[in-house]
Amino acid sequence: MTTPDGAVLFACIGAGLLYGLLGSITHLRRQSLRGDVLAHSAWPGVLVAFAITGEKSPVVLALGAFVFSAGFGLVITWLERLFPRLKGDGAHALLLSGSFALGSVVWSLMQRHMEGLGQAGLKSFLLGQAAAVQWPDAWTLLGASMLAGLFVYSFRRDISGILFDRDHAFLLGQPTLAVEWILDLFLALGVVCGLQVVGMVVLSALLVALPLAVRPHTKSFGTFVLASTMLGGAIGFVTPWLVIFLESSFGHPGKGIPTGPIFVVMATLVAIASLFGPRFNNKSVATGIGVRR
Amino acid sequence: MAKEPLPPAEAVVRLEDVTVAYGDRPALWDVDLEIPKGSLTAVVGPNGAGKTTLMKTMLGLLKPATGRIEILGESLAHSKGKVAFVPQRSSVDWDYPATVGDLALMGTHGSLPWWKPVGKEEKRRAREALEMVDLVGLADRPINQLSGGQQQRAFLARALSQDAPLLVLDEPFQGIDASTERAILDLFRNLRRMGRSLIVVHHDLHTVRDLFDFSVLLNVRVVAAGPTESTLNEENLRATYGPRLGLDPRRAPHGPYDGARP
Amino acid sequence: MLEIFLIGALSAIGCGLTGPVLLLRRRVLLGDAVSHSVLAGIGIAFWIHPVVNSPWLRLGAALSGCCAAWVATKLTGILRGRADAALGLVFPLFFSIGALILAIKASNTHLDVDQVLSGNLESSWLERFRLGGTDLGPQAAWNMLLIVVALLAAGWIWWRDLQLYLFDPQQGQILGRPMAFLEILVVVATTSVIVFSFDAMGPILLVALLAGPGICAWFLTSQIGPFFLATVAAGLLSVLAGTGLACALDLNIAGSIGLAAFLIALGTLLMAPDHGMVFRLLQANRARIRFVARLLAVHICQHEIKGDQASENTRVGLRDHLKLSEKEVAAGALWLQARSLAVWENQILVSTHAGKIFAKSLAEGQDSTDGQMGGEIQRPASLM
Ligand SMILES: Nc1ncnc2c1ncn2[C@@H]1O[C@H](COP(=O)(O)OP(=O)(O)OP(=O)(O)O)[C@@H](O)[C@H]1O
Ligand SMILES: [Mg+2]
Repeated sequence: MTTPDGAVLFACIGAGLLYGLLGSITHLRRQSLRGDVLAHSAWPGVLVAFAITGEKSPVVLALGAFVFSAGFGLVITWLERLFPRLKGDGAHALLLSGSFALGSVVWSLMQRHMEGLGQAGLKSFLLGQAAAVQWPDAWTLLGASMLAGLFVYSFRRDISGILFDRDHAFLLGQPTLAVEWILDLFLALGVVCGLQVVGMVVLSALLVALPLAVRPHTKSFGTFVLASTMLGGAIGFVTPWLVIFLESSFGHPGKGIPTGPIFVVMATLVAIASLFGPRFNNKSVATGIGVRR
Repeated sequence: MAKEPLPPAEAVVRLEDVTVAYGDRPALWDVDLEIPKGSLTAVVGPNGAGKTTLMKTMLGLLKPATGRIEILGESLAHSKGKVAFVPQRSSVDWDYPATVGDLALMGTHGSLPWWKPVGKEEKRRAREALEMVDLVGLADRPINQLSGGQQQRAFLARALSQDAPLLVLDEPFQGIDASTERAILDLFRNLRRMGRSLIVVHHDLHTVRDLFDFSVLLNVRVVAAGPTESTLNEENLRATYGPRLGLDPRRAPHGPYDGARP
Repeated sequence: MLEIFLIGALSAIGCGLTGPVLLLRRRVLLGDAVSHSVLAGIGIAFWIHPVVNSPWLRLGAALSGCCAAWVATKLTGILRGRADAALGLVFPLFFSIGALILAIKASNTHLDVDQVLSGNLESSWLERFRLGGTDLGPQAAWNMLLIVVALLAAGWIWWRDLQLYLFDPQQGQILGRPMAFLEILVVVATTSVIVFSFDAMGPILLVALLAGPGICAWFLTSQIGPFFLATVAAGLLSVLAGTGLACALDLNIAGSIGLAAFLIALGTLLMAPDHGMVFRLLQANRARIRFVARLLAVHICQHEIKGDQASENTRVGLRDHLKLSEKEVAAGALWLQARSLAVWENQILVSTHAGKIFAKSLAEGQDSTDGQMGGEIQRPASLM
């Protein structure tokens, strides 16, 4: 049995860590579909960045995507605060459709006005291309997950307080608005980092499935976030090996088995198994308060 | 019934000309109020009198239309973390991954800078708070597996562990059984003896008369405020609640530790 | 062109009849989820019968869409109302299963995943519905028409139960109404609208037509009947504006319809009476002036009784003591003047007789000119 390509392996681990971490936060904010929405709203950003600069370099496109994702994300947060009845998924659905419609209109404009538009580079930006993963992609994902992990770890108490009870956090003097904004920005950043590598279906699946899988077995914010992140990393590690195994036993020569869907199926199956399976009855020692009696 | 004499008047809360409106309907009208430091204060008034509004305004959760507010001699912006609050109805997500112990620890988080881990001192405070509300046995239970009264007690523990000089509690006894209520009232009196100030929205006028040393009678404006003996009289109550209410003189005052209630 | 518009309009009606249900149940993204989930059915159908463009593909798509919606609905119950998590878990799974099968079995045929997902309104009229050799118009339009008629019939039969289902299904269950059946009905209705229209429109336009017009209507009416009607109307308007825009500027039709729906919804959020931004700002301003006026009325009366009105009831005195701005004092005084409750005399605001009575009634807490309640009402009032 051959070993998987190093870049693919580390990209998968990075994606698992990153989306496990960010997913646990979006899960607690009751916005599991936000990743999907932000991924869609990157599309007009990619097109506009290309239209302005005429370049197809991943950095430029990623910058455009980030500006649009982050912007749309903040607009959603703002709309939900202004119109409470849009909470849940009203605002998300509105901006999802709005941004994607904007993307297709801009696309049709560009097709008419820009000559020699090779669409391959732009389309694959959205749909991901795990087969062509390079080392820089893996480093980006690992780096982003380190950065997000550092932030969440440093401000774990503020984040947990604000997500649980905003008013109370405000009274304690915790920086409510700033933390919420930074979390929004991190999600946009995470989405954009993974978009070219794993594609939007995979990333939205990971954002939802990983926290769901660990939620029944954890009782505290810290263990929940950590477990979700670690599970992501573990599934990310296993997936490329599984792909190789499947290819060697079922694949025909010349027809690869795509990595992304396997990743999704694994994460989802783990989530379903943990929802319906037995629960670990973990004696949490996270606080150490009730242990002695 | 032994009530300590009031400490020399130094205001823990001072409101001047405070008016709060929802839209153009004032819920609090021209409130001038000084609550002395180190007192156990009751805020009473009928439903819709603006008690919750008053508490939230004092804490800076609502912006007043006019007026000035001082907490512990400082403006609102500087008093963050020095006031502990138990809301009347908390709209938190009960499916949040937190245990009762975590909830009690959350009260201590305001005093910790972000780079410091939770230390022994914080754990001790949280544990003490849980002991006070008799929840130590449930410290490792997730909050979504609590009964309504236990949830309320957990919130009390969160406020207590904050070690704040001022505690503001909006109807803390809803859903709490009679004997626990007694225990917590005694706890309040102990805290007061230790020099804390407490402001409690409370509906049972008999307990107010027996246990609280300062009273604020509220109905959109302040009807009366002052030491309970002189303030909580028939005339003021009638002015607050309307003509049909008064204290029943035949009901005996509670002794401090008699436990049982009629 | 007319036929494209007809297909779009019928889809808008279909979406308009289902959008409000999804909005009120907080499941609009079901549209997005179902339209991704059809890939599993397409994959399986292709595996069994590997021909591109066979009716089997469409049947598979419809079945797996329904299946995904049903699983998501069940899962929402298990996750205690987390519809977002349920949808987010189900649709990538279905999509990935489809993608896997197609990658293994169909990597060198022309079934492009991309094509399946983006939909194409421009070419939707190419497939004709023929009966005995006569051309009766585009197949897509007939499909949609059939669904719209079925939806109207179902809505007519179960109208009352539907209201109960939307507002308080638990209460409905206690009353013995068929809430479980209604749940199935809603799932089947929404998925059939989605599956049949997304061929032509693609998932994103679909979400646009489900969410945009529904949100418009939600901010315009507070009753359930008009809610549906307004949604359909706003949907038709979006299709009209979108096709117009696309023709004028030669754009992608689905995209511009989606954009039109989005912009119309945003416009409504800005301009709607009662809840819209502009109205709320106006209202807040007006409320503030009325409030300041009452404050002034009580305040000047108090100082007239005390007798220090000469120093207190001037513009500067009022401004400083009540912590108002000069503009607010002026606007509040104007409000009082307009109702002959007070007048300016030698730079001092003096209450009239009517003003004294007004202030007295305010001070006694009898607020005769009661304002509107602020705050958000979460659901249409008639549902309460
Ligand atoms: N968010 C709001 N929007 C509009 N009006 C409100 C709002 N909250 C409270 N009010 C109104 O303000 C007034 C005071 O409300 P508040 O909650 O302060 O009363 P309360 O004294 O705490 O009553 P209770 O004893 O029932 O708790 C009430 O008339 C209420 O209708
Ligand atoms: Mg209240």
